[in-house]
Amino acid sequence: MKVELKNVVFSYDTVKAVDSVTLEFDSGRISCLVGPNGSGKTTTLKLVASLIKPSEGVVYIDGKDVRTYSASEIAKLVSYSDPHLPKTLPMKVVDFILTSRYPHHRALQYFESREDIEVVEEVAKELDIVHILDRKLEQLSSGELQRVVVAASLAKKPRVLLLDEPSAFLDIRYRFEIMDLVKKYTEKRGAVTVVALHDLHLASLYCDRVYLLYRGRIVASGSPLEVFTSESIERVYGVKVETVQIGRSQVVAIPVPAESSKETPATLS
Amino acid sequence: MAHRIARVARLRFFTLSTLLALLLLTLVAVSVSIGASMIPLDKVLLCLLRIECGEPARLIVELRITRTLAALLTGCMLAVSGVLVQGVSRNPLADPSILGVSSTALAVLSVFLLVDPTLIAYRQISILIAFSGALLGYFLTTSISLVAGGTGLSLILSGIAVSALFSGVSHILLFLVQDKLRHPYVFLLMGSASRVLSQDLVYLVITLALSVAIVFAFRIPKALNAYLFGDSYAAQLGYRVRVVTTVSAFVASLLAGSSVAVVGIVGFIGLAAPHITRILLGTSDHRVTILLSLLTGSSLAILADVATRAISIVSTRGEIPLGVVTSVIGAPFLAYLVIRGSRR
Repeated sequence: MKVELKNVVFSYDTVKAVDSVTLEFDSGRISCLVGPNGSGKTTTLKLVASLIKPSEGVVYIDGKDVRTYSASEIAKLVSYSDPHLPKTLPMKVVDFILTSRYPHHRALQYFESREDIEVVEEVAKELDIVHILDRKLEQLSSGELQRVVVAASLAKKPRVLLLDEPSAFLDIRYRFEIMDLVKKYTEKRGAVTVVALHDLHLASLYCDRVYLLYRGRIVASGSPLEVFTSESIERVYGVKVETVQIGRSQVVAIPVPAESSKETPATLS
Repeated sequence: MAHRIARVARLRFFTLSTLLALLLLTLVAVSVSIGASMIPLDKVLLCLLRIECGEPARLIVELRITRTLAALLTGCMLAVSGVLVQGVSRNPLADPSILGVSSTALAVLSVFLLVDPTLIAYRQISILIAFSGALLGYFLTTSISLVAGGTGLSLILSGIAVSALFSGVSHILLFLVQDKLRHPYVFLLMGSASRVLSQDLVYLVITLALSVAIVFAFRIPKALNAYLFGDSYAAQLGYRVRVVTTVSAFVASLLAGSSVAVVGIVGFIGLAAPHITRILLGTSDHRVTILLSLLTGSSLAILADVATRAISIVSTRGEIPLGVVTSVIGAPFLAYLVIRGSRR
């Protein structure tokens, strides 16, 4: 199982959001997309989920062009989670998570099966959301909602797991817990996991491979230690940073504000 | 926990279905017994079961059964239309009359009546005309709303604008042709089950059955559940968003349009029935709300129709329209439910 992008281009109007990207995501490993806002992380995830079609190039899942899969095959295989859920009509958390089981329903099945409920129960335990299953989505805090969104993704039991900012809105404890779970799932199921992350420290801890994106292109890829150098981060984000390595693999990038980086005469005199 | 929630939800659905079905049967019996000449409930039952029925009682019962069934079917149609419109617009304030769907249906029908007033007698044709008017109204409202930014608020505001314009237009057109209509035109503007003939019921049954069949054939209930959480969420579950929204809007317009063609504009039921159903069930899961809203919508409509007759007993000026009563009895109930719902 492998997901490949070959010379993929996608443009919104005239802007190339993804510009001739070629890469390969392996199974059983967490691949991370890192880069500033608008660098093409979400677009890449959506291309893999075949929510949008590339203007040029091909996306392959398991060696087959995604265009040869039917919508229901893709729905069973791939899950893409968007952190922004519209909350319009009142829905219970459990009802929301159960929607992600729909692709696995038999053709004439109307209600969920015992198995669906068991899967939800299991995922809810792992993500520590059992106590909020009966609540309405609009009553949740943003951190709880984020865990519910990830729970829905995992409940689908996808072989390709695409997560867009799974750590947003979470406190430090849940950031680690969620990524631990994603790692466990990826290794146990041999899933191809691709995560778009803003938190470079979290990326250095959990990503097996990092792709640094800038204006729709991949500017660096490799292990977190190889990619997260102060030069590459400064180039991409346009902010001066100081990178600190902790232990064998943790990298912390500390932004240095523009004023303090210059030695201002005022402090000298 | 998940097992317990699922069990409770199932139990809740079946209990509510049974209770509401009993309520509906009671309301039907009451509706047949109440009117200018009262028939005691026991006599109504004997008559309905064809055990013993005097000639005058039989005629009255037949007339009242027709209008009760008309109210029942209208209630079902408006409720399902409301559930679909609210789901597809992801807007809890949407309703076929608020979105201007009902008033454009009537306006287009009125234009045709101006040309040929006998059209109202041909139900198939007037249903088709009203249906195309309803589609036009839905299209118009959503287009204006998209131009205005596509927010939930802009949808409701453009709906109110379209609805105000076209109810005004229908009022003018119907005012002009009123002499050629058999019934007061206000009954078309605000709805009434009293002028429905027994042969008209067939058309209501056909459109309702057709709509429900389309809804289930396209698996709209599950699709709308997924669609509530965004276009890309529904798409990654394998649903084609364009198909889901088009079919839902189409069926909602068919239901609203045909109810307008036969009983006129009855507001509020399309808004209240889905809400009442949701609050009773505690969820917006369309798989159960669509089914249960059939019962809540029809009960509301019969209750309102009984009230119009109760008022006509004390008045010498005949009956008031159904739509007036649905607003008066429904709105305070909705207000109560909204307040209770927001506190929980």
